[in-house]
Amino acid sequence: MIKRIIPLFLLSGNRLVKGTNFSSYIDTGDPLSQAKIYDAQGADEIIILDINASKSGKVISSELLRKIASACKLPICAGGGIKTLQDARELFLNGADRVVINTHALLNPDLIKHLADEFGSQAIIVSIDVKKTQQGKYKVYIFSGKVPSEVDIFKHIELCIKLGAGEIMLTSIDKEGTLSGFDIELYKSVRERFDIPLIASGGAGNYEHIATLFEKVDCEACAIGKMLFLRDYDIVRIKSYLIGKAIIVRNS
Amino acid sequence: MLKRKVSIIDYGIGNLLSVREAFRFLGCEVNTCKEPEEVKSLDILVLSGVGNFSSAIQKIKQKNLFDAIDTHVKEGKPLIGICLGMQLFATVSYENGIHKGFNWIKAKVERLDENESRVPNIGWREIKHLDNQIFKRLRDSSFYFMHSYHLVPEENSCIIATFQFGKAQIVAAVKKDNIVGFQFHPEKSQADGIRVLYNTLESLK
Repeated sequence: MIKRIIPLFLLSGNRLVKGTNFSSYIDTGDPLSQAKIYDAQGADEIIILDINASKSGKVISSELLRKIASACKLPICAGGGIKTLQDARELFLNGADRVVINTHALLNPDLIKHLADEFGSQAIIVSIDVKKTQQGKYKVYIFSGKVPSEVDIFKHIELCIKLGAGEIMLTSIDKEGTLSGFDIELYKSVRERFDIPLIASGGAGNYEHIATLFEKVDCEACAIGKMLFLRDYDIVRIKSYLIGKAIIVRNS
Repeated sequence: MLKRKVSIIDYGIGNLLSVREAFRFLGCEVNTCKEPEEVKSLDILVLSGVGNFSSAIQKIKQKNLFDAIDTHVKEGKPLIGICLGMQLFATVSYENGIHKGFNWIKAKVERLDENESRVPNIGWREIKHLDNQIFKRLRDSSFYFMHSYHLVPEENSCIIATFQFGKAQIVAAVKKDNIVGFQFHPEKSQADGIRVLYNTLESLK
């Protein structure tokens, strides 16, 4: 199976941002020009999330999506504030190939079923943000890592799968933006229990982190943020390194 | 540049924007068509779409497009199907019940076998192709897939590409007379995807 390398775009207003542990965000550029760059480098997909949408009761801008989808020839996953079928439909009509739901998947799990019935499971990614507790358990957070929930991570994933989620994107809040490597144990614990396509997110900081993830966890993809936007790495060199480690990626 | 007239069937679901942009990129004049009258006198039809088989067929019928599209194909005019659009070529689909398709290719649509690999099948898969026209001059041969169901033709003669799914060989593309279908998304598969669309347009006279 070809592993996907996915630049993760966090949108705030009409700019991209990047933070550490879901706070201290700084500007990382214009979304359209960044999308063109990563398309040219041979990224396997782009995930673009509006980090303020749920809090402010809005949905990620379909106008921006339209611009990106018109300029790029790679799959685009979009999320941020999706609450209804109509919200999602608007995004699909404007160039999204898949939608990402997080907060409202937890607040209203039936949304997953409605979306999957209408658009198919393959088009629905459920994103889950977790923080490790002192007892070593994982706590699920919503509203871009701001609000803790009492839901058990494994029960939540089980329900998402039952209702029709096509892929899980799992982000470690503790690792996010730290450039210190992925939380391998987290992804292992999910892979042991569930056989659903899985995107690991949070912590990529160098080539070795990505290679280690794919060597130790049977996951389909990894999402990368700061390492691409604020450090001297690109998709072509990341893939070259992975090929050297005998990890199967698509030539770019 | 290919100055072909391409019309994308718009039955209300799916990301048609990317399909439209891909054909525009190749120099085609691209329209979307929503009415049966528009289907007549057209050059190349494109049937795209996401979601489930039965609701796609239902929507096509509600908009009175079914007979117009069927006539277009039976008159020997070209049509390109993408993803669910290709699955609609089949006789019957077993997605949430039993539903009839266009029956251009004697085939059934079945769910991918979870014992072979994870379902849905999402991401890039390397294909094995048998058609030197449509798959010529590729850099790589990986394409972007996202689906849970797949086409199972009665006869192998229409299959022009397959991919490995666990131990199974799954249909990645079909061609029969004037119709070509892709299970993957050429419009989302970067340079090789665009190349495949170009080759397809060239092959469809």
